[in-house]
Amino acid sequence: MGRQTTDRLMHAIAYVLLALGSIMMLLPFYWMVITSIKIPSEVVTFPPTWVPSVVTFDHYVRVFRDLAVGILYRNSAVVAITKTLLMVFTSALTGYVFAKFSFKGRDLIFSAIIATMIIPLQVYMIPLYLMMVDFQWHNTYTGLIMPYVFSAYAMFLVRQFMHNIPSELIEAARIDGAGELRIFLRIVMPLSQAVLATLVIFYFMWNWNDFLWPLVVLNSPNKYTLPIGLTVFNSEYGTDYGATMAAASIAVIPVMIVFFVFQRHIVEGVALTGLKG
Amino acid sequence: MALSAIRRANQTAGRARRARLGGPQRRFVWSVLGPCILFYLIFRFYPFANALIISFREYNIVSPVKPFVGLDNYEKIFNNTVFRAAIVNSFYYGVVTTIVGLIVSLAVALLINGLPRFKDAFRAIFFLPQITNAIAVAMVWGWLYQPVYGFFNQVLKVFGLPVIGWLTSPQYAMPSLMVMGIWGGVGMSVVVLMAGLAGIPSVYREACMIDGGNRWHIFRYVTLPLLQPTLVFILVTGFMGAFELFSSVFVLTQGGPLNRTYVLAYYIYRRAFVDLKMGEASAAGFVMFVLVLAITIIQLRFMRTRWEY
Amino acid sequence: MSMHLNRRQLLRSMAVGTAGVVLAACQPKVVEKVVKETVIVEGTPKVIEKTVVVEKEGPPPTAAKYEKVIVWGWWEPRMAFYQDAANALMDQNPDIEVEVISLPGDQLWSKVLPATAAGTGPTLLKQKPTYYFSFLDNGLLEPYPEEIFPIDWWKTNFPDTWDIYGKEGRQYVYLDGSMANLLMYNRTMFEAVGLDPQTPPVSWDELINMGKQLTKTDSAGTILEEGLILGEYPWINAVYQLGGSLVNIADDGTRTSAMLSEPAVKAFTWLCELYTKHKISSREFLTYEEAIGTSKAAMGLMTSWIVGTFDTTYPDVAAVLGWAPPPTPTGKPEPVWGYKTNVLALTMFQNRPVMEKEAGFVYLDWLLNNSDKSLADIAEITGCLPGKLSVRSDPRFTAKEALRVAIDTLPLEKSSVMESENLNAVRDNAINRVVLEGQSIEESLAIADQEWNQWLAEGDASHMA
Repeated sequence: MGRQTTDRLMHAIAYVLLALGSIMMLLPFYWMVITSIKIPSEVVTFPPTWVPSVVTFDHYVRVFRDLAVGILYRNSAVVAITKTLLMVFTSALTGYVFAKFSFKGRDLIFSAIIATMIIPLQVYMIPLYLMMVDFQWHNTYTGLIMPYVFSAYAMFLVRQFMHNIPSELIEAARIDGAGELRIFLRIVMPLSQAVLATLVIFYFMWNWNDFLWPLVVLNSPNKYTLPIGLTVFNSEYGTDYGATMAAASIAVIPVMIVFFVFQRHIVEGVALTGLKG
Repeated sequence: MALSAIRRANQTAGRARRARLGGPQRRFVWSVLGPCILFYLIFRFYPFANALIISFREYNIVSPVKPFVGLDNYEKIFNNTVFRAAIVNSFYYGVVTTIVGLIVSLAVALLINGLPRFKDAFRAIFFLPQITNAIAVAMVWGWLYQPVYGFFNQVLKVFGLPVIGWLTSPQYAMPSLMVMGIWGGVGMSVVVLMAGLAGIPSVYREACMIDGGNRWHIFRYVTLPLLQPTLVFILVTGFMGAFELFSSVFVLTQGGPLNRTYVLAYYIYRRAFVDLKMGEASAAGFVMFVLVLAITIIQLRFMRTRWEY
Repeated sequence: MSMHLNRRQLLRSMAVGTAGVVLAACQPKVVEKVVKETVIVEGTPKVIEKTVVVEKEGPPPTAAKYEKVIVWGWWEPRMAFYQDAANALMDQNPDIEVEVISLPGDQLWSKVLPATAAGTGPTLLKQKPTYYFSFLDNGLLEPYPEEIFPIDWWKTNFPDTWDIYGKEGRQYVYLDGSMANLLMYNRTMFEAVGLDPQTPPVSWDELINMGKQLTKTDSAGTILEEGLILGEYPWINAVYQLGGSLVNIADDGTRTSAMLSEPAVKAFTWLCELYTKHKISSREFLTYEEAIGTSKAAMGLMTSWIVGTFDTTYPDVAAVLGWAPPPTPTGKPEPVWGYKTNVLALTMFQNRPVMEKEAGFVYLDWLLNNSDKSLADIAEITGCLPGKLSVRSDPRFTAKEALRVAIDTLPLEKSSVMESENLNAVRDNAINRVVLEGQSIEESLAIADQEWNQWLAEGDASHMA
């Protein structure tokens, strides 16, 4: 058997295996969508149907009626966008300072900050929550956002990246009389676009899906973010399978569309950040 | 991840030039770092220290008196069957999902990597659960696992097999959550592994082939050793992530049946915000911290002695 | 480095973000007024200090202006009736503003205490007996003014509950009513197997025999339709029927587990055998509501609040449901039919601003003295005998079979404080160990006994009888 034939055979096997794997990956989403458009009697019918015999959008109508989808999306967007941009901006600044300046205590401070990454939220969640209560930030977006305006991980990634920016460029700008902030905004930020864009995408994704901290901090239904709204809907309509799947679809599908559009950027961003981490 | 970062930070420290900063630069540095340091002191170090203090108190949120009770909270939680179950379950979940997840994702990454076409498409499909909302995903799996009308049991019935209480039987509930966790986490590892594979220079593989090595030899003596940092990264981050399992338990099982899916993160949340025993919850939090720290150190040590020759 | 978002895209997204920051900053602050205060702990009276912090700028509240009353509760359809009464009041009295907020039942209790401590909590809270005492014992509740709610009203109508819920002669809550533990059965399913749809089982043996006829399984033995499904409190209900209890109360008030007592063991064995020996029920089936509501269970034992759920969610099946007192070991109602649940209504938080509490009492007064229709609505949807006498005469409580049966059953049920969630967990785990894992009754009960003692030592179920 020649090398080419073996290669082709191996490729064929790989395609088959990966196709099966992909089916397993996509099946839950497929089942979610078709359940959400089946009529209630067909949802529970046996044997189950792979394609709905009658398509209905009643479940979606109900979800839009009983779940404030618009408000939840808006709340999640406000929180996630604010948090992400603050985080990325502060990380860019601090990452730059850690990478390009040398001063006494730098490595100590940096190590101390990085060390906080290892502490799970559960460990300091209670005092942090009590602090929100003391600060009157309980049940506010300030309380949701403020404890997350810096991110050690993002800082670390930015710092790694900025090591590669030639110091000569910065020195030259200094000799030309540019102020430090100006150098950062005009030279360093544009040169770091790649890593900053990746961070924006990732932190937006994580913040968008954040659950535990909002669950603890928020009380008012009109302030709930999407994940919290979903748990509420699920606990009240848990046995209405069509409606819960419609609610899940509403939460998942727009994000999926965005993902497939930016798929390359997002996935390669992981490779970038993951490897540098 | 954090520890390797620290190590790297210390390595690079030597390289940096120790020049004295000029006035404007110093101003810039400290006006940037000032708020940053303040933030970490207020929102991380202070709560962390405070958590330790609270763990020695009987802490009732509505009572002004928070008496100091020494190690009572620690004694109470270690005497509590649910807490002990939570530790065991967290380990069980963490070990199985991390190891099985690593094997599965390594296989998928190698398969995809060898393909001439459609690499991006497959990678994206496996990555998909990562970007979807964990609560929505849990609701979907809850429906798939539903005991009477759920997809899996319907399929079993089609083949005339007895149905399984995926989330309701003590023996299957945790494995069901593990399947869900692996399904959700594999994509991230695949992408990271593929990047790692792409970083292996092809000369090594060619050299191995010239020496008469087959595919297995290449994998065993070239790919695996060179992938080691990536594998360590996945193991450490994967285990830490798995140890913090919360939302699927919150949505699907609430720790049941028979406390088989009670995990540490969920226990801490319940104890703090439902039972309002914040002292005990903080004690449990500290136990969790010590465990995470220990495991991370052990994993890093083990991986180094095992593969650095 | 293959990320290529161009600079303009990046800047644009930054600008959008800045707008987001501004938007977030413009969000109105929820906290308007906060009162921090030292409370009475563990019965020891301490000096009460009050510091009032006005957080939001604006004109100081004038003496005549009431502040907004916030009511928290769970279960949206029921809370809507509280809002109905509030709306009627607001039409009458434009100075008052009442907002009723329904939170998910499983999250409400983890939110309300922290929120109260933070000053962002409600004025009034729809109560649950399991939580009421922790609020009361921590000094968080404001006593009702006697001129609006004569205590005699309660003492006369519910003498057995006044001793439980009153404290030092003051009233902190009132009763929406009482819910009965009932048997519900699907008449259509009875007819389908040749059983008389007018004769539900009255004894345990009949329940099991009929359950066997009504259960349907497939060839593998998996239950397709349950003969019987158990809802809340099945164990305590059976224990009371046998004249026992799950707590021993010593003379000094110390509470210990009575799970190894003869009636408790007998009741537990009976429960487990429904699954293991008679196989008329399954631990791995549908939820109670869905099983009964979609005709997948022929009989069920449950608290009568479920009536409202069937009416609103499963009207087709609700129409064919029959109702009866719970079957007893002997078929006779002695010593009791079982366990009845007292439904507590609203409590006032003591740490709210004075003008808010005053407005809150105006609302409570209105609710109790001018809103009989809303009270009847609330009682109807929760399937309970109304607390207020004039509401009981509402014709729907005699017209509707479920409510009529509930009202007849109630006087012969034992009144007690609702089972705590911890007890529920101990019980569920105990049954699961036997049914799902094949553990022996003795071993499982020994573990349950130990767990229950631990909870009791922590102060759980401090008022349960």
